[in-house]
Amino acid sequence: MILLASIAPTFFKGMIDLVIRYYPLYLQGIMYTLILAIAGTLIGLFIAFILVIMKIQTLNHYGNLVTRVFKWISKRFAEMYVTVFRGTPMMVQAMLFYYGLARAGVRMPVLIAGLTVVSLNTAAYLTEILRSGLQGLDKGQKEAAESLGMSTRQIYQKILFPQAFRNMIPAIGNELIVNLKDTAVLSVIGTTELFYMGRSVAGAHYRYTEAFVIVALIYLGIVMVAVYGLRKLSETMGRESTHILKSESGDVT
Amino acid sequence: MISIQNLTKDFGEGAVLKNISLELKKGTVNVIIGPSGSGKTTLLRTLNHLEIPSEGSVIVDGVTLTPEKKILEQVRRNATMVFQGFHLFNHLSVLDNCTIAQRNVLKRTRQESEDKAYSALQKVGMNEFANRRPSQLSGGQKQRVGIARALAMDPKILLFDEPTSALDPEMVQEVLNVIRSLVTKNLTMVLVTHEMELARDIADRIIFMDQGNVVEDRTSNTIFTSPREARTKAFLGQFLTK
Repeated sequence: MILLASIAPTFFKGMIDLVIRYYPLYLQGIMYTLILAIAGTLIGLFIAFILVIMKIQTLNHYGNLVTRVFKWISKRFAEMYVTVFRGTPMMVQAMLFYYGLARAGVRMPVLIAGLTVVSLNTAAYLTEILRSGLQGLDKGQKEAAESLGMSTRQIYQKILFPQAFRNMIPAIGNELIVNLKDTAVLSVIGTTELFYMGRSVAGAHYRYTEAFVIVALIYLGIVMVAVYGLRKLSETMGRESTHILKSESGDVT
Repeated sequence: MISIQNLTKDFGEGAVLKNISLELKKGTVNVIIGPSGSGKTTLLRTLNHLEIPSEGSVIVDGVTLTPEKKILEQVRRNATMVFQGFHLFNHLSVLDNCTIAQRNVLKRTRQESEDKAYSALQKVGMNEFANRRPSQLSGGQKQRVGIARALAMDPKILLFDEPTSALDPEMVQEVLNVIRSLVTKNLTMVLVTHEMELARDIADRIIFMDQGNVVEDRTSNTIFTSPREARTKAFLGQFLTK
């Protein structure tokens, strides 16, 4: 106890000292982490929409040969994509992507490389989330739309995705929170996100504990804000689903 | 209007429909009755290819149904279905449930589709609920919206799959009254139902099915007074009139 009491003032003083001296680095780290996590989740979601359509196609013997072959290839590609990206660590994917491209003569800015890896990785997880969201919907929704003569594209775009998406918002939020923390692994390719900056500050003064307590507190703060925001969003969506809403036709009720 | 030729459906555990052939005339009300598991719902669902027949064919208004997308979409917009479980689009208001297919399939303008939707909702007595969500409606109200959604497409054929089976007894009557009011010479109706009184009141023809076969196919007056087959007689029981 006595030892702790004697260390504590020095420790906190050291932390404050690091914050005052290096806050621009921490701020840049925070900014990069937010860009990577938010943009990566959104781009990943966009890719996941395409992948899930490829993955849930029904293979049958109707239609012409070219269409059937295209369907088969795209379905198998989506399945393989999800298996590979979920089956390997994002850190390994980042190393292979960045250094693989470098070896092929392509020098990509680290932020772009990092964002690409996060997006591709997130897409694999969100594809599975979307798939289970779609398959969790009542089969009758699709049948009702079919029985009204709607095309497959219209059914997914207007009926199924909007309902599945609403149910999936908590899962997409979880993916964002995971990304806020897991983007730390992109430091291996030199992406200057929060963890990388924390390590740089720590290395400059050999104050690893102080520097990483600051990093941990920042991550915790960002995640708490994200959790709060997502909870508010879920509550709003929940209210919308049980209350009278602005209709698609534009009437406010 | 609808020609069913040598129709067989097998889900892999024995045929559910066994070599059925029927001709359903334009503007008639055709009611399919029979015990549970007799294949009546499967037969109805093959009429717009929600179930694809294993053998045989269905010809609707001169078009032979195939799983080709274009043909299915063309036939389905003219042969809409009312489901036992309603299947309203939960994320849309009542009005949007009735306009979404009109706008996307029939390419009607917003104004046209809303006018048509309100007219259909008026027919089923639900126009005051246009801005509600399906979750805010009772079972009977949901089914009336389901009927309005189908009607708004101006179908030539209306298919009903046990439209009152999922309803509380006190809500059944409101839906039955709506169905009764729809009978016109311009609309061909095919109903699968256990409501014998409804069948007796509105049917031009009653088809009795059992174990995947059409056991008896008669006009309503005769089937309720003098069924030919013993199986029909046993099924109709208390509904037989002397």
